[in-house]
Amino acid sequence: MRRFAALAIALAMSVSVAGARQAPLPADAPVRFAVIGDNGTGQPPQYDVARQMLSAHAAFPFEFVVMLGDNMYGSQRPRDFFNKFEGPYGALLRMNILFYAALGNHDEPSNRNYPGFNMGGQRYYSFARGDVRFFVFDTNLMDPKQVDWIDGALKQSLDQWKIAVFHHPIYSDGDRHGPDIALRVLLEPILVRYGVDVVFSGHEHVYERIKPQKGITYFVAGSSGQLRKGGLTPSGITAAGFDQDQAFVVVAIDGDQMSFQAMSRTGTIVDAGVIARRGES
Amino acid sequence: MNPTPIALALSVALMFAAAPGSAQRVVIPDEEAVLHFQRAAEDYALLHRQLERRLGPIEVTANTETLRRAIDTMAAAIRAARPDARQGDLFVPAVQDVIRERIARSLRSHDMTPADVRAAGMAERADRGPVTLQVNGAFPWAAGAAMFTCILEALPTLPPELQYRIVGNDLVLIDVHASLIVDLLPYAIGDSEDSLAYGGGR
Repeated sequence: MRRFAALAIALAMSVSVAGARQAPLPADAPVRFAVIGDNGTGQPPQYDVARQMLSAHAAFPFEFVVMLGDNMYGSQRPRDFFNKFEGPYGALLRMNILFYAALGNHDEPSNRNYPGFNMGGQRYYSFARGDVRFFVFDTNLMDPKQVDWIDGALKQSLDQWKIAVFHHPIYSDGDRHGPDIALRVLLEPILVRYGVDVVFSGHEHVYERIKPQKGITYFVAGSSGQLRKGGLTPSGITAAGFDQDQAFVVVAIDGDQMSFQAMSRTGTIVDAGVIARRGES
Repeated sequence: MNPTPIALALSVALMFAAAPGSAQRVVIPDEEAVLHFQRAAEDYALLHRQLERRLGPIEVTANTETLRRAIDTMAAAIRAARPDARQGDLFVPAVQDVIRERIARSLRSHDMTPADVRAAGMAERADRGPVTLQVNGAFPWAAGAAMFTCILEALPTLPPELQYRIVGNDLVLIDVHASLIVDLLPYAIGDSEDSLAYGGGR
């Protein structure tokens, strides 16, 4: 009964937010991207999401895609790069849309050398678009060297927006894994100290947006191929959630505002909103 | 690669120390055991780098066949360089209990149990078939291994060529550039029979 109530709250929350903003995101925003996570199954739902991304692109021409890890499940032989990446996203790749990947726990670490993932052969890296810098971590191995790199890279960044991307969520109401508390203890002080605005993670096969924690908005978007139907039990920190179908996120950043929509496999907007840059709210 | 001289020396020292009738038991402090392990890991990394210089580094390439071939070639070269590699070459007895104790302590401090870790690991398994873990064998990424920050922070740091993963109850040391199992520490997170769910392939 509690579970049913929780799900109802999540869906009601999603629908109410969705109803507030059905219009496409601003196509002329300087920074436009999509976010997918836990996508690399090679199964029909992944292809369905990819088709929906293509459809979304027609209205909102995002320029790149951020992948939250578990980019390929199971076998990772050469043919799998086609079946689980180049095949489903072929139309987007042919439009020169770049995919930037983080490594998940299902990813063979050497996949960082695959240029389709734009990791430059690195486990962790950063890249910038306009006023926005993305910091991509490898949370499979959060060793002291990487922590030093994160600290240094964030400290040096003068970018207006700082977005962190990593596989294992440090806030999540997913039933399967929940938040990685040890990782939170390690990372959160650094993210807060250097003014990270938004964090995208996967791992949990649902969509969830967390209310700002110490000023940072957290997204879990780990259902772009995999899905744990009914796998979300909203709590007091849940801003919105969707666990009934696969989903992905599209994002527009213009000045001090980040607009986003989470879309289901069938194209329904299940969450939407606007986030102000930290210090600008 | 055969066991490193340091690892061998340590094993021999421990054998004598444990031998019945030996006059005095040598006690090796935890830190020393960990240091020996890290030196053995560095020795392994040196071998890796020597081979990599000969074969050329794995480069970023759009040709996934080339990428796979580079990984497999590296793995084959390492196997050829250490054909007698055995479980326990790096995780020598002296460090095994140190690591088990450190993991147990870290899990307790995070209010986690070995059963939590095993459950999380099983949740990641794409299929439920047995997994074969064997030194010098390919690491089965397809099985979906897990690593936990709370465990990682308890473990000795490694050179960049090596990473840890937990599979079932076991701690696996992997050459991530060659996708090769370098060593195994069985029952690293507990001694539950649950690990049998992973098959007996070690």
